[in-house]
Amino acid sequence: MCKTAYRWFPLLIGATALSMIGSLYLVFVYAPTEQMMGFVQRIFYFHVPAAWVGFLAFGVAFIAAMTFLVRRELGWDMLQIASVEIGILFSTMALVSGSLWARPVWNTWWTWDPRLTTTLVMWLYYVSTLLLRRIVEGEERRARFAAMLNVIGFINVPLVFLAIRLWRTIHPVLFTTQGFAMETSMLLTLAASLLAFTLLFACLLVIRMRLERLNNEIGRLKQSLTMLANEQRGVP
Amino acid sequence: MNNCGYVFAAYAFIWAMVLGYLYRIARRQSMLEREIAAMQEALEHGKQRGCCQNN
Repeated sequence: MCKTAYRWFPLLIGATALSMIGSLYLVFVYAPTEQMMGFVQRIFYFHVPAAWVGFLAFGVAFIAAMTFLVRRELGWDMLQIASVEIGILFSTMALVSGSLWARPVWNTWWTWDPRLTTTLVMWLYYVSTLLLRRIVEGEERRARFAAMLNVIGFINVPLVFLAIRLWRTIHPVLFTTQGFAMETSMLLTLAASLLAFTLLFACLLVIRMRLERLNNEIGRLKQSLTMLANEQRGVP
Repeated sequence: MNNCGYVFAAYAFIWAMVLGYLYRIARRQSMLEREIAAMQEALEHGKQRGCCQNN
């Protein structure tokens, strides 16, 4: 799997760069200016994809955590760390870009709206899981602990998505049962941005996984060095 | 409503986050690669010394 990922990696980077340039063109040139909010509405085209990648990354981490708990293979632990870290990165982007959009439109940087609050809770939870895993001793125990936290924490993700449907909120609802609440050109721009961000997520995941593999290699070498030192000292 | 500054700030923040993250990974990766090379060298050195002592 890893070798295939690296073989396709230059192609993935090329596709990501092209789709990013394309989506920026669509955002600033093609997409019409929204009548009520004006130019500031263009934050939407990067805000929604950032939130989407946050959900996707936490979803990948959930699957990796479940698979780790079943198979106990450390490769799945590497995937969950990488995915949670990227999920936090994109959720931060969604929170900050949302705040920058809220200031001129809602006249406030932050409001304790259900969508915003659940997103913040989700963000804090995943940041804590990354910090908490550091206090656990032993590779296997640490991975098991993190996997359990990720499985439990994933409950929050659908809750964030459904928050604007379950409770009264000022956050706009875009995807309704009647379809998409926006013009076709805007929808196309959003779709291009979603694709670009998903590809960016794949790129970052491959890069971050490589870092985890190097970390593992260090651990393996440290073990070999200790064994060698013990052998030479005559320690059994 | 124009508010170009907010749009610029949002896009700049997102790009800064992505580039900052890539920079952090690249730095950490080169550090780990150096560490691995040093450890492999130490391991080879240790093995050779072990062979000499056994002979």
